[in-house]
Amino acid sequence: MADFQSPITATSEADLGSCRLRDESHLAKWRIWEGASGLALGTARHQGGSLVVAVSPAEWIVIGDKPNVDDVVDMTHVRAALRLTGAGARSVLERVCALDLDDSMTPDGAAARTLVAGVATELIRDDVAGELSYLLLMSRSFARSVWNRLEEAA
Amino acid sequence: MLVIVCPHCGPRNSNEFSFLGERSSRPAVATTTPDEWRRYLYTKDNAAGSQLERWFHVSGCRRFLDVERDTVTNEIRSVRDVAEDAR
Amino acid sequence: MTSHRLPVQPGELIDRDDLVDFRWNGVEHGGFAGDTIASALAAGGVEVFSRSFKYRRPRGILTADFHDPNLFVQVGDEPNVRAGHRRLAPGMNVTAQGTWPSLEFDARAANRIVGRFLSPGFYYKTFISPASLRSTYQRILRRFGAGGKIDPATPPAHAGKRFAHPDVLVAGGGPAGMAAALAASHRGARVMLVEENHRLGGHLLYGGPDAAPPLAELCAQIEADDAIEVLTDSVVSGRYDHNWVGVVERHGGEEHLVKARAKCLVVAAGKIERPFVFAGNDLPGVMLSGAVSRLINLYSVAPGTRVVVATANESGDAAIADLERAGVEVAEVADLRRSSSQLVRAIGKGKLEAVELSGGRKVEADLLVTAVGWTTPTSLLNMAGDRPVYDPAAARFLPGDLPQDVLAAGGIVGDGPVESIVEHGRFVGFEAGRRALTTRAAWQRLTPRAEPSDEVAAESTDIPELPAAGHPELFAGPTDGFVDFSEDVKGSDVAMAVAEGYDSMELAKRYTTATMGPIQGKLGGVNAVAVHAAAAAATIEATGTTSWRPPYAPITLGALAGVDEDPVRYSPMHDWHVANGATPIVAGQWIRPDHYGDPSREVLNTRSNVGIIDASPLGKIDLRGRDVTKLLDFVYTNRWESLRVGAVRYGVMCAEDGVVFDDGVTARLEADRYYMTTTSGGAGRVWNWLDEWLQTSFPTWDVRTTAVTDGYAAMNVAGPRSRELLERVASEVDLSAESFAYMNGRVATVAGVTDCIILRIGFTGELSYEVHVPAGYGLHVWQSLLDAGSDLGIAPFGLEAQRIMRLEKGHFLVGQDTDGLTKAHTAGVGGLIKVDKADFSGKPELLWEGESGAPRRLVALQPVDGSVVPPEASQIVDSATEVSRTIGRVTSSRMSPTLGRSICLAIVDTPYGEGGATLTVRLPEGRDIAATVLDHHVHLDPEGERLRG
Repeated sequence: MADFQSPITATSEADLGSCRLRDESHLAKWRIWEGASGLALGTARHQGGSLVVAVSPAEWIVIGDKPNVDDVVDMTHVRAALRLTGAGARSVLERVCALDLDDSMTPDGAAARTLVAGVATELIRDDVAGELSYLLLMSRSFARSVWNRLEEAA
Repeated sequence: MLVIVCPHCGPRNSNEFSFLGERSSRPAVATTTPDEWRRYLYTKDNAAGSQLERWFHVSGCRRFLDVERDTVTNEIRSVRDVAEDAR
Repeated sequence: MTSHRLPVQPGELIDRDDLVDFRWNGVEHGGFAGDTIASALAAGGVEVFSRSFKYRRPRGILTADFHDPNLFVQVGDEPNVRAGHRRLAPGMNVTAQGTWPSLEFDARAANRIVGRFLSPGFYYKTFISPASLRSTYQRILRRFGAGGKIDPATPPAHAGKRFAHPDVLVAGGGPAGMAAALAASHRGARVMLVEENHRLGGHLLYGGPDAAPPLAELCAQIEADDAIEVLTDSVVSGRYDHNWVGVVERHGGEEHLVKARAKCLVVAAGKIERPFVFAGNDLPGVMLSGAVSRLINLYSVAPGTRVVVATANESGDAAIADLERAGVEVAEVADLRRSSSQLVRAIGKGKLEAVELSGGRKVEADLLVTAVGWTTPTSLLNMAGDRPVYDPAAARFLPGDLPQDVLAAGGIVGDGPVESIVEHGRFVGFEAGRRALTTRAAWQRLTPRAEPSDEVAAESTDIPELPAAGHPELFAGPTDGFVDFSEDVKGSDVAMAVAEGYDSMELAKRYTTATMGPIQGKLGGVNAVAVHAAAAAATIEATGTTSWRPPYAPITLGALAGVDEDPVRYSPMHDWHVANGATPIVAGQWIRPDHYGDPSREVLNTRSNVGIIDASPLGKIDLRGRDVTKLLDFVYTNRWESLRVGAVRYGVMCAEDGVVFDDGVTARLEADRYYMTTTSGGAGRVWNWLDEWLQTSFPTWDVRTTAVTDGYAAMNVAGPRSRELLERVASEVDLSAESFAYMNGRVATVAGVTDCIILRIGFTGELSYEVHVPAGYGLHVWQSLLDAGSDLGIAPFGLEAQRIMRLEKGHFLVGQDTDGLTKAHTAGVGGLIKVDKADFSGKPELLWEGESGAPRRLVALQPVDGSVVPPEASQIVDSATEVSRTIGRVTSSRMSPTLGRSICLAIVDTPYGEGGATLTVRLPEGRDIAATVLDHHVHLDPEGERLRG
């Protein structure tokens, strides 16, 4: 089978100075309506090799292994995934996102669907080894625009 | 820019939502008359004061919401998920 | 020119070791770092800075701060720079603006002679007739504009915005604002403190030696507090609903907009000194007391050499002290608190020479200082719904009723020594912190995953009164002078407006333009109200203020625009299109290939060989559940329960008013899994529409909708050789006409990519397959198809060729051939409207339209002269009557390369739409042509043999 093609043109990683931007669109993503009911709305949790995200009632997005439930929609190609990591990630994101990203409102493990650079985005605070990190999922066709806006914002 | 406290997502800016107008109830299709149907389509109360409205959290949880808003002060008195009431 | 720079003053802001060179009207000048443009020029002896708006009168320093109406200058290519505020920078090229031929001699000052034409309403009265001359008037009047010049070659300056979420936002960084910020922060709030000037301190900055210790203490505390974000040289431009607050950060000339959602707003805007209305009040050399204190204490500039001071308050008294300390001769003090003392007029030709006081006594002077009271900057309070109340004892407007999330602190509320002002700010800040934290706690409780903060005290703090000090009601003297310096409006103009019937202040304001200039009445707004009240024999209370609206201070368009661009959408094959010479077109938010050089050739190649188009923007919705058929039956006008697995059906969706709002095909891929396609522009709208019905009317139905538009790269392979091509790359699917007929859909593997969906449908009218490929492999499959078809004559085609081909087939486009009034019968899809269904969206309207007959219909039209393509939107007229009547319009038109003639779709009044009828199409240039109505919509292959083969 052919290689997965990134929605971003030339590069899959950019150094924005105070933080790093990486394309992780190749990650498998799934939408399910059962099997994760323990997870509270507005949160994301690592479970086995997957990250389970709840941003809307009675449905979940799973990033990672295909969930073992009857009804699964493959979102791998529908949603692009960009990861913004580093101490400056918040101040970059604050230029394109109206959500209050303060730790008291959006701590590690928080998840929300909101507008980022004018595009409906699942925003997941998912720190990596204690380093501030946001995973952003948006419709694949918008990924390049959002990528460019984040670069400009930095 | 209003703050609408979505029952699922918490306080969000109103540009995440689309406004669908005053709440209206759909007449029974089998028996409706042109007058009644067109009131449903076009006639609005446009109250100065408390008004029940329909909003859609399109860039958030994608739930349809009934919002009680004071059209004079923009105070939002309640926000409910429509489906929870409809079920 | 002599230097007016004083010896070192305590608290001066200038750095005498840092010399700054700049140019003023082409002449080299020098100043110090820390100077404003105006202070450096004043130190160099400059007295005239601008010419006034209407009468071109010379104007000098009035307030020496941001709100000085006389200090608008051009800096390089930046117009309307406020020289009382903008700091000097090395190499600045500063010029006076709107002067002609020069600042010193302005020829248009001659219009003092024609000044009587410039009375209120003169535009309405004078330049009305004849209408044919209005554009000439406009051109000449523009030369009288006082604004600067914009160089069109200047690159647009737009800077990024940011969002902020302070618990408490304090507008104004004087003692009250600083104290409020500190108190709110001590209570645990995150604070944003916004100050218009370059430094915190407000009036303490120029308050002389006594003000220095409390200022230093406040500054040190703010400095040490990490929870306070200080924005200096910034301004709160507006307060909108739910405390959405705009803050403009100025960095020299470059501005950034901060959009803040403040949980509580503290307005500590202080007081703005108002001018006095009397003859000669705009002469260079007439200043307000604040200007004198600023020039001496901040910039160490002597504002004059021999001074008359007319004072009614402590600000004037402080100016006297400053003048005396600076060694300026105070020739006379007129204490206006005593009724015997009067300021009559300022006398001088081009600048102040003498002052006439009560009893006709004249005193020679080159500086007249007035201190007659305050205009309250209640803008932000007004924007929060407050109607300020006039207090005659204090001779100014004071805040009225404020909403819960807005508080006012300090000088805007009342008066007192620094300690009282600070004390008031502290209480207000403490209470603001409590209110903000209460809201924060509520929002945290309502936000999933937020960390709830500690409980907040429920009891509010009683804020001690800060009474406004008594002040004589001094607005206008016995002679006539300017009430609005920016707009050159005099007291007599306002009185004339009242005499002409403009007895409402809001109307008189618009008629005279008083308070409508760049200063927006911040200085003299209350004077205009007082003069109006006097002329109308009303009280100031009854007259009231005019409404203040955002922005509080002008914002550059660049700051408002920001770098926000509408996001655009790219197909997975976008880079291929660019590399292969596609001409792009933005359709919806998508960037699509319009053509690859020659759309006609693309059409002919598709009709004779095989073509391929990137159709990725097509809307795609995955539908699952036991009740999908019920949903389809409701949103489409036709029936769906009979759709077999593997079959595809076309449907039209109507809104509740019966108007067509989308169309497309839906395939049943499995028993409970459907794949809906929508128009490219309608993808989001249809998804929302489905969810709306499901959530609000049918919440018990078992249907799950997922928008998968971006998940599939769609490519339409069309043309007589399309099957042959697809057979080479597709596997696990039998493409033969027998097992994969027209209007069927299959899941297949294409070029090694599994889970592709192939729909055999025909928008172009050719044998064609729409191949939907998981987007991450889209480019691979696209390339594989092109490679595999090279010997079949495959070539890509763009949007234009597709539009031509669909028009040849007579397929309408929603939004192109239909509009917001086109019901389904009009669009000619009556056969798809099943009114025997119990219910569907728009059913009653369609039932009634079917019964009464559609008033208009969509028809295919061919000009008799096939070489003429009537432009889209050309009118179709009935010219049989004396006055020709519009009976329709062309909705789509193209030259058909296949037929070698022009073809159209049109909407016409039903009686004119019979097949064979000849209609008159009026071209935009006025020429009429004849065109024939066809029996059906189809121009090419009406039997559909190509399609079904």
